[in-house]
Amino acid sequence: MAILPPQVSAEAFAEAIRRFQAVVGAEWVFTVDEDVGLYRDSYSPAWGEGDEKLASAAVAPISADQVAAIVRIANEHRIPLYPISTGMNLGYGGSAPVLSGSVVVDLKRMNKIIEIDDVRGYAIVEPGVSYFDLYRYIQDHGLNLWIDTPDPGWGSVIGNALDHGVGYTYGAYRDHFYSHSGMEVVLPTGEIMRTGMGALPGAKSWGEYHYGFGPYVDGLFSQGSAGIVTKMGIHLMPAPEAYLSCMARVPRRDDIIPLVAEVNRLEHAGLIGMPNYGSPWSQSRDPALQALIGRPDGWNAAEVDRFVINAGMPYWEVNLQFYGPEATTTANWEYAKAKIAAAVAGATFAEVERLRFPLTEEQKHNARHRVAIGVPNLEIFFIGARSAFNPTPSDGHVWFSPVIPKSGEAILDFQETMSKAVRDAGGFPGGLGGYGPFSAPATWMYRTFIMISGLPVARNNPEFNKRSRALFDRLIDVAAQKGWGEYRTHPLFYDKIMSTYNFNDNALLRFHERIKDAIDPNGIIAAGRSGIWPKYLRGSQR
Amino acid sequence: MTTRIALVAAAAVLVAAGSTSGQDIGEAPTFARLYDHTTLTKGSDVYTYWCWNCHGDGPGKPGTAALMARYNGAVPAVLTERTDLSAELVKVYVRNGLSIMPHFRKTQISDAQLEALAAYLARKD
Repeated sequence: MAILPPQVSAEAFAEAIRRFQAVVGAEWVFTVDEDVGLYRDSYSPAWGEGDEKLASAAVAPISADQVAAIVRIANEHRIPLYPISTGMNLGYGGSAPVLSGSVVVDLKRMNKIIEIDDVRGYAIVEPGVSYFDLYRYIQDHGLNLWIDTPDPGWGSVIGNALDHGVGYTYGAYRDHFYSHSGMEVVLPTGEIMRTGMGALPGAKSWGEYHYGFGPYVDGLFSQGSAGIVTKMGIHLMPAPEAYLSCMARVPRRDDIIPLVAEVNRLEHAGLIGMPNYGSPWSQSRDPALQALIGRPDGWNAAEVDRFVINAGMPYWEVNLQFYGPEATTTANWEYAKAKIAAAVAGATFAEVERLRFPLTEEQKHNARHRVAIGVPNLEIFFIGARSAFNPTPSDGHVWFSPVIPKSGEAILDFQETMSKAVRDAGGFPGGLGGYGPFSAPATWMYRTFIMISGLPVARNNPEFNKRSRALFDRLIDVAAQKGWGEYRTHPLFYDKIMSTYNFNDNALLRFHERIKDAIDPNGIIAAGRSGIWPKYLRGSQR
Repeated sequence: MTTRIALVAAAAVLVAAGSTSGQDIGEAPTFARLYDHTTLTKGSDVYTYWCWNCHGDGPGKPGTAALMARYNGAVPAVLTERTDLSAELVKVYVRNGLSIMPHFRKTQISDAQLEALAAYLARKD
């Protein structure tokens, strides 16, 4: 065995492994390097280095009772556990534990869809259920439901919600933690608890009403280490009759300010699903434009704006998505056009795609943006994959995902601030990516923007990774100075990012630590998750 | 050839590359029943469940596009059209990954399922 949990003897570890085997069967306890190595983070920017996050073993239970038994054994032998649902989470740590030497509790085998209702609009699932699984189950059973799927679709419905993952349809659905409803959790003591209406024996409304009664504790289990979630309810949307995808384009750089203001109003009033901002120039290889953007002293907003205006192509575009009866989608599009045209001189409009449901498999497969119609896929892997434009692909990436206000002003401020930060740090590793005058926000969050960027990783090239990691560190600092903080991150940056959420002498972290000490005194569950360390590791790990 | 820019990618700033898969319009397999990966025994089902979405035919298949860019048509970009794959090679890629394709754990694809998948992709017809 290559590594042991910290402060655990080889004898205690071997005894714990033997007892885990008795619970789940020897076949489902992984201890040899070849198997344990499959729990490495395949996108790790520390691959092969001393601080790479590595498991000591993995155990794969099939039920909540087995999870509880594993947790009780771990307490007796002081074995740190790290739960994963399906263990995808690529770019944010994958399947590797935060604390090296932890035993990964792999919940992929727990893949039952417990309950699903297409009248009341919810499902209750286990952690191993992926978005593909839930989607295919719905299709196979002819249910009148859509899922809101993230990219890619092979992740866990529960795991994604717990990591504050996001999708592509209406705001209330695409915030997957918001749309969850009730949990079953194995606590650090091995006790099984249910939250929300799940706490009331016989209640039939687990999947419908979030809160139940009393203080709401579900948040402790999201990006947290307060227990292992073994079931969860999730709200599902009714399949609409029609989908209409349209594009609005505006000519000038500053037009993003009134454009966002109008689109915010449309979205917050429930008239559109997720808007997608972009620029027709973001992939341009025009040499004159590249020269402007690549100036050694940085790009100048007025110069870039003049170039775009002279070229006669819009600076910004936003894709608007309408769901519902065909008549209302059309009417809402007409309304949106009128509002945007009144707010932005020179705005232009185009209809992109109109679909009526149900679609055949062929139609779904060939739809322009499948996640927008609730069809999970893996198309997102075009990011970073080998292509004519990217002949030497990286071995993954780590996502830098700062939250900024949902305004055009914030977008422009972010572009200028972070372009300078990248430039001052010596540029983006590999020369691809970064921020520039056409960087657009990701809009998965209902009420904010995420200015996401993937910092590339090169397996077996520590020097390259060192540059990515150093830049990531720098971007965290610069963002925090502006009040922009990450919503989710790779475990290598947990401590640093938690340290930026430091109002009143880190009152939030200190509160988390008091909770951790009270409910998990042995520090068994997910030590170090989100920068929250159990007492016995607080000095040595942070 | 359709250029498909993932909308997230436009924001994301890593390279959002265009699909160069063989066709703009592809056929979808029947996979509605494939919602419990633990029950799969046929290599073709394992392929459809785990591989098709990246390596199949038609639009939006980054694995197919990557193999097209890698081999420039010298071998088929769609995995099921290859006749030069060995079972051993398939197993190496599944358990080790390559570039942005991650490795797969035994709770995802068991050793028995991997044998079936490897045999399916290594067939010569």
